[in-house]
Amino acid sequence: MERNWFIVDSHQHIEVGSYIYASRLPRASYEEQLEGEVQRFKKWFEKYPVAYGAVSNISPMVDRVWRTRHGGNEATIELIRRVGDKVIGQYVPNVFEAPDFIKEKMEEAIRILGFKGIKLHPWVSAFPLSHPMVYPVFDVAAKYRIPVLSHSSRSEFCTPALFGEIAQRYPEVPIIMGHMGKQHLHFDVLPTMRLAENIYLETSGSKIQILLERAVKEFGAERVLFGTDGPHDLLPAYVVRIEDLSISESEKELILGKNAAKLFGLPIP
Amino acid sequence: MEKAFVLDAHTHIGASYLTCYFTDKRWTAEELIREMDRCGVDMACVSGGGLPHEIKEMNRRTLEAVKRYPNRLIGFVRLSPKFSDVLEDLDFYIREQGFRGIKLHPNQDGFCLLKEPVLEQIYERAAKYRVPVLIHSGTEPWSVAGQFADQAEMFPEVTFIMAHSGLRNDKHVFDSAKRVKNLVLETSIGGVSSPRGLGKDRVVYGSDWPTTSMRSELQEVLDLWNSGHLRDDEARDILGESMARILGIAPRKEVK
Repeated sequence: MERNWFIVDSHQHIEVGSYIYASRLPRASYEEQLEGEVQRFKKWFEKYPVAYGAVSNISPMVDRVWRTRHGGNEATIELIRRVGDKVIGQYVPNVFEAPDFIKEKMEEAIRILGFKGIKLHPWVSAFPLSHPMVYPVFDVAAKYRIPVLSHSSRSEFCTPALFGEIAQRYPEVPIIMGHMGKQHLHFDVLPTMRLAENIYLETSGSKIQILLERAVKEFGAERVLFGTDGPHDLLPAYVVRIEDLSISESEKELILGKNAAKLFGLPIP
Repeated sequence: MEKAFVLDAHTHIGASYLTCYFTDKRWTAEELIREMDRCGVDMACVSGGGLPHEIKEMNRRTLEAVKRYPNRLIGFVRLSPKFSDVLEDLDFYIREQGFRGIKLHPNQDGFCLLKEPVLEQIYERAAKYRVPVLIHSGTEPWSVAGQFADQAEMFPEVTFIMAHSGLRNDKHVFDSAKRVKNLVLETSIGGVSSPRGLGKDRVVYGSDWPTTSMRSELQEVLDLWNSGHLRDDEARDILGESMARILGIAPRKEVK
């Protein structure tokens, strides 16, 4: 890395409970899994110069019927308690629950449990991002003006087009396109960004330099957030990718940390 | 620690598959060499890139570049089955001009592995000339992991290099690579697979520059090395020594 940036990783996960790929299921108790993740995050934040990480748990995305009130989001809260305030909680709602129940739990998550963002994973959970069943989630996000980060890819559940539709319906909600279409839907990204000013890009997953440069040129660096989908040891490589963009230093500062800090309400040094 | 020999298995001059749809800019051989110097890349396999009707021009530009920088650049000829003289081009660039590999792009040139008859003749000549075939991967229905393994089984004398290692989205990449010995995973965009379980010379570093940041793609290998995910010998193989063996060339450190 060329210099000491202020870095906010806007896309991180813990894996406590159910996994996407069941072959990776650990033979460990809940507490052992949780403490393993706590130690992994502590070591990672000691090793890499990242100020904050916005974290969600995978388990509530995977389970269609939750086994606890918050379906595994409790592990994120416990992570914050044990690791400290470098961890920013992203709440994963269960869109298959009754609308009032979704809202009640989200209110609790934001007002009492301290979550600062919402995470959706339409591909893993199997719902179209702009389906009416997701409206309760965005109703609450709009009420508190908190960002919604969603996975995007060529999965029919979360193509960039669906980001356009939901962003137009909820212009108050910052909607972050995680992975910016991933490795296949590069041609959808800029047309979708043109549909709504509240669509943001998160940089992990796509590596096409000119696409990001075009996005910054047309929409401003304010609409691009750095993310790793980690935490992992490729943090330097992911930062280098931003450093190598043909954009200004101040634009790189926005992407690497300042934009996410503003969206999540974090102090900027 | 002694600097590793670095050979980028996948670069372009002109444009690349994706840049050409976002910009008219065409990258020169001089820009490629400058980028290699900046990143510490000693040598690079290079093929032309751009819009699919520009293939002849791409290959001509690549030839000029290789002649200008013979110690740094290794020519790969881009071949499209859509051109009737594809085999003549293969012979010309490999046999007469000293190119050391073939580049195929099923997604952009609109042909399907296992379904395009002329591929058999291309692979037979690749075996005859002992040159590897670098093929874009990760896009259905043209070129996904199972197709790579099937054709590698059918042509055991050919070394097939899966560019992008399936673009990360294809979950059959590693299992397909395990099925055959003559299938090599190239790291650009798709990431660095562990060579453990595959064997020696089965994973090679590539950047697909100018699509990606060459420095970032290289840094991914260094990150995995620095953090202990790769042993010294594994990292050095991936960074360049494996590709040198595949090409049958001596590693030469050109960048201090």
